Amino acid sequence: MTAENKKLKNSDAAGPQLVAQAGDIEQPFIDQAEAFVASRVDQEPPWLTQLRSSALSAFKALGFPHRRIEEWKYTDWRANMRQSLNPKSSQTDFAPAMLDSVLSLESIRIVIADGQLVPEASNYQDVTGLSVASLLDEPTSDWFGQHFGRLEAKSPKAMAAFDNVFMTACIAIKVDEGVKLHLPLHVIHLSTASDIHHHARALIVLEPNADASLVEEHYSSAAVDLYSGLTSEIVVQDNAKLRHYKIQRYAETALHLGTSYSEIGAGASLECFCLHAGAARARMDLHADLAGEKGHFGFSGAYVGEGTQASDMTTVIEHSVPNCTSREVVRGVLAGKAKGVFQGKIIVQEGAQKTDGYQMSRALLLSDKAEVDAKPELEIFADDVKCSHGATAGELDENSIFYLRSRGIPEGEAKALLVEGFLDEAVDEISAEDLKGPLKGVISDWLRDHARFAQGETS
Amino acid sequence: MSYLLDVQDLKVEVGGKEILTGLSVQLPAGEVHAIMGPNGSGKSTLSYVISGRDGYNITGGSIRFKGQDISDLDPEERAAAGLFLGFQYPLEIPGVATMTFLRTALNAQRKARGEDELDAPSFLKLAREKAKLLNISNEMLKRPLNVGFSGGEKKRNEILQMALLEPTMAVLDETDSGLDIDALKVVAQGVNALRAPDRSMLVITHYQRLLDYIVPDRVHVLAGGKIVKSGDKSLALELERNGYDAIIANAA
Repeated sequence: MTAENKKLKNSDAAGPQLVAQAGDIEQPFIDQAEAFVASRVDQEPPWLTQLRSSALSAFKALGFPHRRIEEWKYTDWRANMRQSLNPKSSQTDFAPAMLDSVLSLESIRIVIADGQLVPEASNYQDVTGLSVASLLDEPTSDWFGQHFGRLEAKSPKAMAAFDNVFMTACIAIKVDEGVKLHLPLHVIHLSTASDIHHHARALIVLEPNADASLVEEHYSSAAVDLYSGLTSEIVVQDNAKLRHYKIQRYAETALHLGTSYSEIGAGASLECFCLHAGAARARMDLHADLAGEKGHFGFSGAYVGEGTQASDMTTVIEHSVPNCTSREVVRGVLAGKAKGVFQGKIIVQEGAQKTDGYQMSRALLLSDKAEVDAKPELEIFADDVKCSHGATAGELDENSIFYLRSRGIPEGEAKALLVEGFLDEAVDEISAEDLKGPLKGVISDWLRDHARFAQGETS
Repeated sequence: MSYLLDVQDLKVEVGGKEILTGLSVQLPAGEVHAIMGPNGSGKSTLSYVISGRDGYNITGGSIRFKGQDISDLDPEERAAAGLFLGFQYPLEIPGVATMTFLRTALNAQRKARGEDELDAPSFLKLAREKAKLLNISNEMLKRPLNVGFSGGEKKRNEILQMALLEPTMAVLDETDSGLDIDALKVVAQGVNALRAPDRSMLVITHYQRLLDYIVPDRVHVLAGGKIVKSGDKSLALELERNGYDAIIANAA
């Protein structure tokens, strides 16, 4: 972790400006962006060049978000970007053997390596009722034009603009009306190279009454310095159900930022799970809009961190109409000087009566230098709503440790079992029974690979 | 005569306060002894110090198990050596399936003793067999350990653990607390089924009621941190009739 320490120090030096705007840290990326956009003009449709250019203008105006911006006060992203990374635009070094390291799932597979779609490693091509398009090599279709950029435009974010400027793939998935996918979609984002930043976009549309599970997995081999950005827009139309489970296990030197916008229609449900089990710095920035009555949004998060790792899960849930429910449960375990952040904002719009919102953050701190920040924020403009929130942070329970030891389980194993059980409860929130095992497997593999973690020591 | 458990003149401090003040008790192999005492007499302290819980400081005397002084052993080492503590309040462990816990415990003990670990199918078969005798359903075994279990279910689960781990010495700490009469009978049946010539049990209880169902070979009265009187099972009935105060006053 020493290389990363050097890079991430001096976070105070960003300058005294109170309004975000591009400065020294951004300039190398802006220079890269101008060259990048110019180099692609000849190969790309005009609308895409236009999109990149306007995104670049937006990024220039906003700059990287930093700690003086309220929703970034615990995670100074600008400080994270003080390192030289180059955009990845050429072919990827993908090798099929890399897939041995990702979840083994019977699935509809879409592989993206270093931000590039790898069709030959994917098997989505013949699934009935499913459309997968990569805008960079296919003409746009009606549904794509109708939805792409729509949710993002409602609340523009610097890091989504950053992804738009540099994206080298956009995976657009549509599940047709009434279609239930019997296998989960498995979207695999691999990073193979070091000292690069790569970016992808995703658009996922479930037409009315469609039903699908999607596992989004991010993985890199050890010891790569990289920034991986993904901005997703997710549209779950009336009475459709999407289970979207994300697993982030980048190398402990990586930076990852996932931005997602979702819109949930009447009677529809979006159930998200996010596991952060890697990266030096990772943030999930999630915005969900409950736009139709009796819609449901669920989020369960789990994170582990040691050394100086930092995980941030920041969610904004908008209850725009009456009779919707949302539930968020986040659990983290931290050792060393690791840090965890959960910010949960719930906005209940005027008229969104009978809203039922719940959020809970629980953290286990295995060392006295680990830190968790939990910030609930409720903005309620309706008068007949139920919203509750809570947060806990504590150590492993001594009584529980003794109970396990009295049955012959050695102390180290007892602690590991309790840590795993604590995290598994976040997985138990999800409804896809067949995916609980694989997700818990990722947690248990991580704990096995970090054998000293449960003792509060960094491996 | 050599005893399976031999506690001699045991003095124990908790948080600087002396709780056990010179307690002696001996259990021959195959016997069931009851320790009865009023609240605050040191019953739970005795069970914890035998099982090796942190924070119980032995300032005098000794605890020998199978002839060996165990006071320096960790709780897990004592368990692997054949000691078992049935908890008065079994802990709820969210996120850990009962079955996973049972298998981890049994295999940890087998490993510590240099025996082969049981594979998943053999363990499953064994656990289901033992669970059936205690009216514990497969569904219950899949649930997180003790989470949402009733008082009776928790105690049956303790006895299931004992049945699986097959200790040579079990200390049962207020196993009757929180049980209605039907649950008590099931638990007592489970305990009685485990009585064996090479297995001893120390049944710690406040009330005589449990001893109607688990009939002890000896009864000891614990007061003020030491055994003040011992006798056969009729001593329990005498306690029930006359109360602790009379017995303790007579013994003093």
